[in-house]
Amino acid sequence: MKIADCLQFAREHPVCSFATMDGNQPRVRVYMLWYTDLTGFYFHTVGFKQAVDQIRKNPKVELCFTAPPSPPEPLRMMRVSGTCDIIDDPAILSRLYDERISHLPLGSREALLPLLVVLHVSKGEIRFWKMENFLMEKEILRIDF
Amino acid sequence: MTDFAECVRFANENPVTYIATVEGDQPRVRAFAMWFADVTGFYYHTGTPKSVFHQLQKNPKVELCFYKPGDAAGKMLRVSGKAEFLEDLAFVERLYQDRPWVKDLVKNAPAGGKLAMFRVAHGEAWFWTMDANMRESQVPRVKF
Repeated sequence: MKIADCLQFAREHPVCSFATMDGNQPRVRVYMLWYTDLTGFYFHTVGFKQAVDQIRKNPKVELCFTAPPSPPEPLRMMRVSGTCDIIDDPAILSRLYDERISHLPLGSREALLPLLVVLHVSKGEIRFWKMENFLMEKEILRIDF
Repeated sequence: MTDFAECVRFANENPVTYIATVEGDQPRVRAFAMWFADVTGFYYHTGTPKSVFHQLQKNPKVELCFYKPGDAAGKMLRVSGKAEFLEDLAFVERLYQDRPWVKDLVKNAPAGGKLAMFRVAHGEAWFWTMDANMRESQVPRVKF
């Protein structure tokens, strides 16, 4: 398993769970991946959401991408732990609006750009899990990115 | 108005659960196939050699996320609470009846490894849809 395979897995299964810390209470919700490349994993949300506040206080996050069972292949999981940066660069937000939002009835560019943020998960570790290594967690290959 | 029965129904219909736990100040999350949910909570099983078991022993706080894909980004049920480990042998018997393959997992576990069952019996649950996306703090929470 190479980093390119991990990125491809995320692209093929872009709905992922995104876990954050809220004090000592874990939080998790489902996010849609915007894109991924060798610099990390990119998501978007609005800046006033609780998840963003949690990341500002503790940028450590974990993501879990899953491929549903496809007999005989059981469920597969890719877990990504890392730190999350909050990006509010207008050029990146403008690209985000064009690619992901402009076709939806959510609001104009002028109205939405000030609200949007991009979440960038980088500097971490990827673990790929299959049922056959269910009880061999320590032996699972870890890939740094 | 959402009630707990609706949460239980949604969980049983969408049993793949993302379970978030804590390891120090690092959140952890993985997918579990929920065993079942009823009015007494959400039930799962794992093994004592697994990291999730040790994380839950140190800090039982969890959040569960169930997801149903669909139009307008689908629907999520988020449940926060504490995991309680189950010692009652009646649960073991029921688990082996419901999921006989667990016996093989236990048989093949590393030396000393045992079955661990837990439930989230108390906490709060809420549904997320795109309609609620911009007002998440106002969405009614269901206490259970």
